[in-house]
Amino acid sequence: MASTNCWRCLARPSQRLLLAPVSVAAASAPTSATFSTSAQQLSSKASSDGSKHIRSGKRLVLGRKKRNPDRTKPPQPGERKAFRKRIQLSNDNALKVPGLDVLSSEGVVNPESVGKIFGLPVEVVDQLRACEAFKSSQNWSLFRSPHTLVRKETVDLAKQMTDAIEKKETLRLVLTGNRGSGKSILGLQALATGFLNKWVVINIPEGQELTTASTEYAPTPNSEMFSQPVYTVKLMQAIHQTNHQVLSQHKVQLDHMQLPISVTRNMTLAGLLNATKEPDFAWPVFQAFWKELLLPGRPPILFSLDGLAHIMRISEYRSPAFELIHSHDLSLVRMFTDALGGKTAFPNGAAILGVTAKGNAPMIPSMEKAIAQAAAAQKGEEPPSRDPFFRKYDERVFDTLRGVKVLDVRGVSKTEARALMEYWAASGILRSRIDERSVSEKWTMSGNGVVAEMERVVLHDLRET
Amino acid sequence: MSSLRYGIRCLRPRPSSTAKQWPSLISSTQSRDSAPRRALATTTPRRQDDSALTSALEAMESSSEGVITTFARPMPVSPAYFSRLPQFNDSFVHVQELARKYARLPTLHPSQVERVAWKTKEQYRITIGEHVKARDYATCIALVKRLNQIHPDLMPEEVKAGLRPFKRDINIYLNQPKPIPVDKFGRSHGVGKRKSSVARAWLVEGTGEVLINGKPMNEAFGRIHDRESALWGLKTTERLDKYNVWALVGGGGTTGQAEALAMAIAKALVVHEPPLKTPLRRAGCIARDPRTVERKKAGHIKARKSPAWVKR
Amino acid sequence: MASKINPWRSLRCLAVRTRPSRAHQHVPTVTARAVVPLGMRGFADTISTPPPTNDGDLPPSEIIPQPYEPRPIEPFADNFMNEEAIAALEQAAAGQDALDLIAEGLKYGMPKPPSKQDQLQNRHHPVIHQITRMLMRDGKLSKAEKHVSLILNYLRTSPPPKISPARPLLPGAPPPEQLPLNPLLYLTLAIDSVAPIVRVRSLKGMAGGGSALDVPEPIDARARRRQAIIWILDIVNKKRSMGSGRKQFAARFGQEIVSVVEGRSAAWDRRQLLHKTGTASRANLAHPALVGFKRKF
Repeated sequence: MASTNCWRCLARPSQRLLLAPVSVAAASAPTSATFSTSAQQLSSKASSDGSKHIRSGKRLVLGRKKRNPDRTKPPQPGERKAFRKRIQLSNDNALKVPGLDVLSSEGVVNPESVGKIFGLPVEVVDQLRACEAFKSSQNWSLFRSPHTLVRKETVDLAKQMTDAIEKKETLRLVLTGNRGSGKSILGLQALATGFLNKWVVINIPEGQELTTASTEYAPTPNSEMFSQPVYTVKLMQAIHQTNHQVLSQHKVQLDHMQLPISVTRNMTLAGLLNATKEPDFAWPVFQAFWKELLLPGRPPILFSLDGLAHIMRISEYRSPAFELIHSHDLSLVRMFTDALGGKTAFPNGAAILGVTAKGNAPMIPSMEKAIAQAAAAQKGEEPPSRDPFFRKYDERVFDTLRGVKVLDVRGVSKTEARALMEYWAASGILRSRIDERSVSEKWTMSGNGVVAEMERVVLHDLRET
Repeated sequence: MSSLRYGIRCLRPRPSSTAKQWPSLISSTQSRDSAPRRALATTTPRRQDDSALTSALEAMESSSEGVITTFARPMPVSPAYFSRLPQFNDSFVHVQELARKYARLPTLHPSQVERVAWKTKEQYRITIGEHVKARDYATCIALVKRLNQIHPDLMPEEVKAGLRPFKRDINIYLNQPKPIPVDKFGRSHGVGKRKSSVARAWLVEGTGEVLINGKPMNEAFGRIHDRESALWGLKTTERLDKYNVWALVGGGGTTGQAEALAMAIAKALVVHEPPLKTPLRRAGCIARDPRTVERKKAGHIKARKSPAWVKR
Repeated sequence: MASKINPWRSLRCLAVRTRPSRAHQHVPTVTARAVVPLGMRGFADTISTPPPTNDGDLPPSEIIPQPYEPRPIEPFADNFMNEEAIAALEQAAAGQDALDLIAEGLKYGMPKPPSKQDQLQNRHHPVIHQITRMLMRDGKLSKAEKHVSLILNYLRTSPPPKISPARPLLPGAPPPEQLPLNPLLYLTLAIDSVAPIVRVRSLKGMAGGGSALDVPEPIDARARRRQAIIWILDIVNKKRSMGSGRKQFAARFGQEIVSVVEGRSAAWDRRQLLHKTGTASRANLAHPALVGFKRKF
């Protein structure tokens, strides 16, 4: 529709000649001939000033509730969920922060890098993305490229892992901490350490996915266990994708006669993982792969799982007798719990990492008690005893968590908080001055430096924009 | 008003010679122990006032210097007796005369005068039992305030007595707030309220750590807006990293608790540093927000919602 | 107490009047309005200077500068409150810290006095405040605040807009590449640009015969923004969300803000329609009914 008026000032074009030229580009709106609208005007006039009693249609319409439906195409099935789960790791609007180091295997264990921001190397970002270490609840999408803060706990964890693996021992560790204190990010940093050190990294991103009856399951022949073939295929693909470089240097050493696919000696471990995409064959192949990994001379393993509470309870799967299956009877979960419980021997050294979650996690009294006992044992204190009147303690959970190390993640210190805020300001996301006062203000406001709360306080605050 | 005043002034010279049956308000304040004479009328309360009348007559006879005029009926004490507001008119006229008489006395700047709690219009109406018009009372009280500005050293007794009916019995401006001390551990205590929440806060010099009901900030208040509200006083006065807060909050919801806490912390901060009261008031932390839930009324579903109208 | 004995009553009947009657007063206002060139507003990007307003009696050359008249000296008030300041000045003259007097009883010095935006009850930017209250449903303020912060985050992460020359934004707007990093400015710019500059009030039955009389009125900034937000919200509520989760409303609103800045939004059409009505009904300002209406009140 042609505008006969100026956009800004209500003046007609004829009058605008009298005025100063506001902006030539703005004035050059397509002015089609005004005579072309006469038909429209005529038609609207006829409809409006005709007799009011003429009914417009043949049917009686009561009320005016009829809305014209949205003509846009509805999203495809699964598209909405994909939108929700989409992980965006870069924001082209954010400024590039120059002068930050890239994370390296030496830098992670160096105590001097505490309180500094490090960029993640591009290949590690790809690997982390493939093993789903990034979560949609984390604010990666605000920044130009993924960077992390190396905090005291990061260096501590990385040092524990590398020390244990150098001595060919097994580190069994549980990450606990309050909600939003950065447990999952610490897990991500541990995975990055694994990738940087060329370990075989196996990551189960959500323990929940294994036990809430959302993937298919099947009884394993000749055992009480149940396998989850589709999930196993997905996991194998992820392992293949992330650890391709390490695994392709090692060849199959054992004979796998019972496997449904033919495996030869000159096949690499990566090839073994990639050999089948058939869900029916997935579990035996994965088992064979696991056996191969446990042979001496193989690379060390980092096995981690996020959402530990979900695999410490009775799952939602049913056995053929229609009884609920305990999560530890699922073979993939059993593989992790055996490793965490110290039942599996790792001759090449390994780090088994269980990350607890606080936001989305069931209350498991057995797990909490077991972790409290482990933490007390680690400090050399008297372990708290079980509640004698509570009957539902689960022995299998206590077995799994016996003797694990516990790393309690708390808020960041003020210097770390300052580094974080300076990075946000340098990215152009935070538009305020960073000084001692503002840092300590945000630190207090976020409950003594709880990282996720700091993000909320700083990045989602309406006053800071 | 002017016509009324004129009428009263015309009436005025006469009673100086007549005796006063009904002492005006000024004299009544001096003889306060006598019976209340508010409901005096010429016809009905004859019996009650017989004694007063006789005593007045006796007094008149005893002090008779000039001509004693006798009246067929008892004369009212005040010329304003037949007006609508006899007592108020009396004191108003008196105040006007005082103002005219002492107009030349030196005055103080209003800010230097000691604050006096004057009766409000409603309070004045209740004390004298007359329905004084708002405009008249405002004019009168303005004159009273002008009279009160006279320099205290030169203030005549007459003026003091004349202003007395307009003062409240208790001068609230003489109240001194009880000083709150900082205790031997260096803590100061403040109490704040908002809606139905009550908060108590203790402030110690420290590094900016906060515990509310034994919990850190992020667990006590899920909403960032509330956290900010609670620490608003410390934040605007740039003291967030200078004090530690330990607080107890109860009652109400999160918003009420947070803003009650803001008030409590501000009050406790004022104990440590009294000059911060003005900035804190400007930041909106000192004043108690008086808004609360409106009460439910009988015949209503909620405070104001009425039941649906039903025919029959 | 107005007296009924008013001398003016009888005097009005007399031929000799001491002051003019009111009938002479409201004649020249209409003609004065017609002289002013319409739409002459000083925009920030207006390059040429406005022509001198010589519709007065004197041409500009004849304006004689007034001779300087010194203002009368104000007598010194007996201001006791100056004493503090004077004492502080004396102290400063003696080489001491002038703020010592004020800072007595302070442990960490006097803070910067809180400004109007630092009030507990009124701490957000006016646009943010208004949008939050308008998004609020069922009194759930915290939910509305969450939506607003998600909207700002959407604007932060969306690519810079491509501004169309057909729908110019407010003059003085920063280049579009800078907008995403200042989401508040982005939002304010979009809302202020699409906001109408008039309101058309329809006075019932004023035009005679029971038909309404449309009269354009100027509106203040807050009301302009309100109208713009109503338009945007109308469109947003009719949109279909393409994903799921709590960010959907924010995404739809953010998309609409972007499309406003890019000139694609339907809110522009509504603005144009309103402006057309406003222009068309300008003539009604001189309507006799309205003139009488104004005189009556």
